[in-house]
Amino acid sequence: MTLSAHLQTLGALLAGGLMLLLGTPGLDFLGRGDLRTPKDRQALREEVGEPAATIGITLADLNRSLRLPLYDRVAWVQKPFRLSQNWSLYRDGPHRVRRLEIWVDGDLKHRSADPAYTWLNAQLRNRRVRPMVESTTMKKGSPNWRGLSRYIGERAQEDFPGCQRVELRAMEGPFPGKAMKLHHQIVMTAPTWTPEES
Amino acid sequence: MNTLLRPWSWLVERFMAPVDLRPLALLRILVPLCIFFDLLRVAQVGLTKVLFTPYAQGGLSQVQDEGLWLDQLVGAERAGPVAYFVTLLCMPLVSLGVAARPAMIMGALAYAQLGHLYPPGDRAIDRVLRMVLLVLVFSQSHKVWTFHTWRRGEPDDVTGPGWPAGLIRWALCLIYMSAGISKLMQQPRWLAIDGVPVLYRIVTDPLAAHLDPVAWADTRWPFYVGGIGTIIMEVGGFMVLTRWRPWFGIFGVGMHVGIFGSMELGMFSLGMLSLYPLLFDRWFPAPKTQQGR
Repeated sequence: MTLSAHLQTLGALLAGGLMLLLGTPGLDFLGRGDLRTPKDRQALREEVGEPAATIGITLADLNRSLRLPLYDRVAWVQKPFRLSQNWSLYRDGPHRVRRLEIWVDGDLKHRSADPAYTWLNAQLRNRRVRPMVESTTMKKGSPNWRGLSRYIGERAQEDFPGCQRVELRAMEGPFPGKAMKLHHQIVMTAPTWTPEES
Repeated sequence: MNTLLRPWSWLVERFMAPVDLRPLALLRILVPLCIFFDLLRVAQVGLTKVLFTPYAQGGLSQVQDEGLWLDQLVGAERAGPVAYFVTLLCMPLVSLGVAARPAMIMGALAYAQLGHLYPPGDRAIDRVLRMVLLVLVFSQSHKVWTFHTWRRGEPDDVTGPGWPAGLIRWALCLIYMSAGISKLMQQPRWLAIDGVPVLYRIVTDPLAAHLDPVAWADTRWPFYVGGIGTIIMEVGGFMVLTRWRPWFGIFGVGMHVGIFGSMELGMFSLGMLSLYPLLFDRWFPAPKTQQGR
């Protein structure tokens, strides 16, 4: 066996171990403060009973005292290639129905997943923009609402020349979404087109 | 000493055991193609500038990641276009197997810069595909089904060390198991057969999917079955490490095709499926040259 074979094996073992440490199934989901206080632990015991509660608490303790200190030492290796092993794949669906509506001068032009109002669908439903639409619709004051609003405002001025007012309405309601209410809105008006959230 | 070395030697032999390189070559072809067409789609819908430019320069995202360094090198306005075109150039080279290894490293690096520049749009699938590209750098996937081997008419019964394929399967196992266990820990009702199904809420969410929540509200059984199936499949991710992985692969294809048909997650499903040749490796027909012998 050559030196290269030994090095490759060592490298593969290290890489595999690193993947396991950085993305340990079950533990990667636990936060640093999860199940830390007696109140949290008691709540878990009442919710899931024994032995599941003891197993969960032990895992949370092990995660905090063993895995996370190691994680903090090696997580930097992921940075150059942006390789975070925290997959954030779909865990639980939304508990309420939410839709973004875009109104230009009082006319509805876009509504999430509504084939009757599809203006900017190709852009706003693109997988890279969709998370921004989602966060802007779900939460008032989300990190990127200004950028998204500015883009929609600029596109409205291009596609509907002379328009005076663009409204982004975040609608929300219980499943299945027959009764939707306004959660918050962002309004832009000519001539400044400065987005204002309310 | 021998007692210590024996397990290590066994391990080295196992990791270096030669395997058919065609499944890895398929990954080398398909993974960059997913990234390439996904980026072309961004250009097709006119999003290149707003996505890959910081907010201050007219872009969408007010938040950039600390890993961004290209803007220091070429300026904030040029960082996005440079990273975009380098990625776009490298990906077909990887697929063709032309300067494949340097192109994998350069491409993954430039693609990561796009992610640092626009973090909201850099999703789990982007990170998975970059990781796979980096593992492929150490594989021999560029020795079969390349532009050069096609032009020279070289045989495709080439073998190479099996560990890169094993490492990618290991990653797939961790990804699926992590997703499945997290789902169950957060929401045990994934396994419930009463109440509003979790899967229904996901695949009818107007912000991420296109099934109508009202129209599907009274149809529950497909979602119960789909939800339980999803958990069984994901928690059973360890199956990719066994010889039954092609059967796991069939379920995986079903799940990803379902996601592709009901949700709007762009290349997510296609990107995951581009890794599946490694699950079907045992069912690959014999290479042409061996068949002829």
